Amino acid sequence: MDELNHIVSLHEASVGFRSRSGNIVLLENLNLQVKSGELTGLIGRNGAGKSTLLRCIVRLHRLLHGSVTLKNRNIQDIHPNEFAQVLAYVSSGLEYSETMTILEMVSLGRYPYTNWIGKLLPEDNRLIDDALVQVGINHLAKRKLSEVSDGERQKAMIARTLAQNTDLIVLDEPTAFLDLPSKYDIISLLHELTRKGKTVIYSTHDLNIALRFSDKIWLIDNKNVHDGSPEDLILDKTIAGIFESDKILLNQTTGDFEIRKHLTRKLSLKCENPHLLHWTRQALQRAGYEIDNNRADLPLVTAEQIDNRIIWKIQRLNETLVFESIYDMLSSL
Amino acid sequence: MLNPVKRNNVLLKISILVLLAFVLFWIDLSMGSAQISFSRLLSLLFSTDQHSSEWFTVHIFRLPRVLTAVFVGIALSVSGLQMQTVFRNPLAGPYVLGISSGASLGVALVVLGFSGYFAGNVFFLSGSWLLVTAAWLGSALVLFIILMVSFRVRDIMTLLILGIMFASGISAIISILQYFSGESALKAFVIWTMGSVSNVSREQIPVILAGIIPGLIIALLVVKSSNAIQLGESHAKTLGINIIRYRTLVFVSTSLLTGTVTAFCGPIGFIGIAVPHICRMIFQTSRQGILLISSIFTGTSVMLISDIVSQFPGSESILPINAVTSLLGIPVVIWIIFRKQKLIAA
Repeated sequence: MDELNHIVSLHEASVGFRSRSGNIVLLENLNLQVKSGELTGLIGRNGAGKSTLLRCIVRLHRLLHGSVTLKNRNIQDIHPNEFAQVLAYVSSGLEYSETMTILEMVSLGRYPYTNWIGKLLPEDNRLIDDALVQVGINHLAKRKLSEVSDGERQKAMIARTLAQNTDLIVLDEPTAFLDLPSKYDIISLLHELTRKGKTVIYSTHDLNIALRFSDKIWLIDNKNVHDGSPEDLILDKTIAGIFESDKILLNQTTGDFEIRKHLTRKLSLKCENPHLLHWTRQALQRAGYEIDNNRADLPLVTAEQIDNRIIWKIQRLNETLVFESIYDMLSSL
Repeated sequence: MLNPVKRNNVLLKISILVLLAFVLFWIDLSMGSAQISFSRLLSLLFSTDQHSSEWFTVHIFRLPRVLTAVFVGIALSVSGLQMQTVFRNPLAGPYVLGISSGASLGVALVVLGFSGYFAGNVFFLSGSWLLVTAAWLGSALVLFIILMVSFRVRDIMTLLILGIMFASGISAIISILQYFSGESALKAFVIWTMGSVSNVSREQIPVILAGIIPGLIIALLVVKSSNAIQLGESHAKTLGINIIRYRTLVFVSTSLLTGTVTAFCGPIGFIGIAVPHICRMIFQTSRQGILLISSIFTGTSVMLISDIVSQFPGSESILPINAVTSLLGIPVVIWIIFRKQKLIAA
């Protein structure tokens, strides 16, 4: 592999906490690399060490053992100000003063470049404006952080890292506490930034969003980190092995988690429209039915669209029931 | 980034604050039992005719008092701003580190502990070098301990709690000293704790300046870091700030500012908590440079108003300055709490 291509590398790294009664090791002997321009998603269960690993990379926490290199230099050897010009970090908890505006916060990204009093030059102002435009919040610049939504505040934090003008951005749970559209908004923004040449590492609990957008997944499993493209990790069943339980099942096709049901009853299902088929099947499975189209003696459910209406029918033995919604159909089963 | 309109706005507001401070300075200078007109004051201020009684009144009594009020206002407001920023707590003030407790302990030891040496007459002590030195040493001791602890303690909230615990401990020691001391010593000490800007002599003014000028210079040097620290220590560190150095500079600056004025004037409450909030309200910004400059002039004005009120216009008596600043400051602190509540409720 081309060493120069790796913006971040971990070498035999152990992550954890030092305590008087001995070290608490969360992750052991990690050898990981991130290539320039990649979006890397870090996933793992609560308490597995996601935040601590990220904090080690951004130098807020010391490794128990091993080293982190940033552009082939040990991070411990880099001057804080130079470090801040290469790497920007967004922690999971955001503090801000009540009167701070988005513009003031994004301007702080210029901190490593400004003079002793923090004077912003025209070039700084241009980069701040660019950053606001890139994340799409330039119309909110004068608003106070305490008065915008969580998603907008998170975008402002990302704009701050863009103003910092670093190659690498590390974010700890940028999608926590956001509603679903905002989660997609943030991750697709990060994805877009990597296409423009930034390198992004982020941790998240939103597994299917991470699987969909990330170039690479770091998956924490029992003091170890599996890495690979999301698809590789699904195909070799690594993800299923870690997250599946007797209650939760990973759908190998969609990457979604499903509730594992003991499907005892069976039904046949026929439908021409694939879209309709998908949602009807999902409803029936939730209600505890296994779909089996190879037997003629089972009740048959059909769904079809007639004009603008959708009709569901249940045919069994000697009766045919017609419904206009899935909800009504399930109620009668 | 400030666009031209906003920049003019900030400059206009600061100019008004400066003008207000200047006007209040003159009003406060004219306060007192002897009636001296403004034009006469102006000529007296620059006169060298030391023989007139009016010159004596202005230069020996009034000017030191008014200048002290100005210094107290500046020092406590800037300290309060710095403490609110470093602890990221809106109710932090200049005394959260325990500096006033340290000063009180020093004074208590002299006034209460050794009152026997002064044959019961301890009132002459107020404003004396002995008292000032004792208060200074007390503050310095507290600063030293806080700094030692702060190198070991990472969490700033732990430091805040330690500061409060420390202050309570010292108060307990002072209570014991008070319990065992004589009536006149006790009264002298209680009067010291009420604060006063009238006991500072002309010769002591340069000493106060020597304490607060370095404090203000350090406050100016940490403006940039103070801006970034508002995002929390993790973000500040990854922006390249040396947290320990920043914290140490802020503590030294606050101790110089607060320690000096407390040594000369006693503890003066609420100015340090209230003024930074007034400035945030006026300027609606988190920019520490603007807040620092405006705190200097707002602090000056608020302290001058307090001094004018304490002269109790038309009366011979002088109210304790601490009572006046508290009565002016408490509504502001209540306002902060209500505003917070409104934010949470909204």
